[in-house]
Amino acid sequence: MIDETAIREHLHAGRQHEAFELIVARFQLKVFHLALSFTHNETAASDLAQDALLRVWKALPSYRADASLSTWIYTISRNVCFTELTRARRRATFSLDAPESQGTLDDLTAPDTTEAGATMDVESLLSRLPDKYQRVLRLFYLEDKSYEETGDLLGLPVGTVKSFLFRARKELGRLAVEHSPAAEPAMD
Amino acid sequence: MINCDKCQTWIALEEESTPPVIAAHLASCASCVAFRDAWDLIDATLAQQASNFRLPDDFVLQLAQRLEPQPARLSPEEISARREAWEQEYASESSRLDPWRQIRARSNSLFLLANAALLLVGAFLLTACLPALAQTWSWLTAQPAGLLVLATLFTALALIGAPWAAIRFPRWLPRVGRLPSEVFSLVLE
Repeated sequence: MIDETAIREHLHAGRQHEAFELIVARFQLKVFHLALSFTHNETAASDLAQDALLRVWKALPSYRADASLSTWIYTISRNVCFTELTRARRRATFSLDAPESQGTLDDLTAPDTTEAGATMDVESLLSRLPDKYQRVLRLFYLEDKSYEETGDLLGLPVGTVKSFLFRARKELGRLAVEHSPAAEPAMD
Repeated sequence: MINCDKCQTWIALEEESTPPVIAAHLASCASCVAFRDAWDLIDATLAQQASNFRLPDDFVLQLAQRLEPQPARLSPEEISARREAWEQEYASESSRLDPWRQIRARSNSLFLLANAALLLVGAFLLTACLPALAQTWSWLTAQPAGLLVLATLFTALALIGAPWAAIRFPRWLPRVGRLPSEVFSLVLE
């Protein structure tokens, strides 16, 4: 694991290329995971992660040493992801509520997980959750079930992450039971 | 006895140990068992999906290709903060250079400037004296010494002022060099 101190030393000495190389090595996977939680698509997430890291490169001269480097990088990456999300929504010329469009969107955003798809259409269930719950849930798994890392990446307190996760799980479980053919209709 | 909502809340919280009251409810409630099984399946599916995602092998290569060839620009604050260090570095590095080399580099500029000054003085003298020279030798002898004194003064000024200006204002030389061509282009326009 690359230490942030080494990156800071390079930045302090004006060696921005060297600092950026270390930043990429250290944060590329996290930024990629963050982008994945927004796009749900590997190729799009890779492009978005590159956009975010390029933005970090351009902003390196304005980095102030008193701020946490990881927080600074995640903030930039999050902003890039949110901007892209807004653009993607503007580009969509059809209604997100229309059932025929929903299927198309799910097809576009679903990753190639044939094994998982055969057992349960989790993507379809996830798409019914609010965005913030989806994002937290996806990132939680991508970050190997770490509340702290998920919170850092999304800029949320750990308590909020836990709360969102709990609500997402409960809602997802309820939806799964509802849409399962073997589910019992009766509930206490 | 707890109800389904509380039981499902507990399942959603993903606690490690199952309290007896939850276990008892699950033993008698099919819908909560279905909820737990569904959630276990979702959990496994999401974990499987997450492990399937991989950063592309050429991610860094693609990023490097998209990077601008120039280094990131320094902000004005950083430039002013680093200026002193740069000047010290420049002074320490330039002091290591051969002093004769520095003098030679400057003497080239001095030589050029001195030549330019001499040409100017010569041209002034020529225009001032040529009509008079064209008259007669006797005119030259009869000419008051004032002109000669003035010419000597201008020459001395040029010889002292040109080297001083070259040292004091080294950046002027290229401008002086460009001046004739600029004037010429202005005249042509």
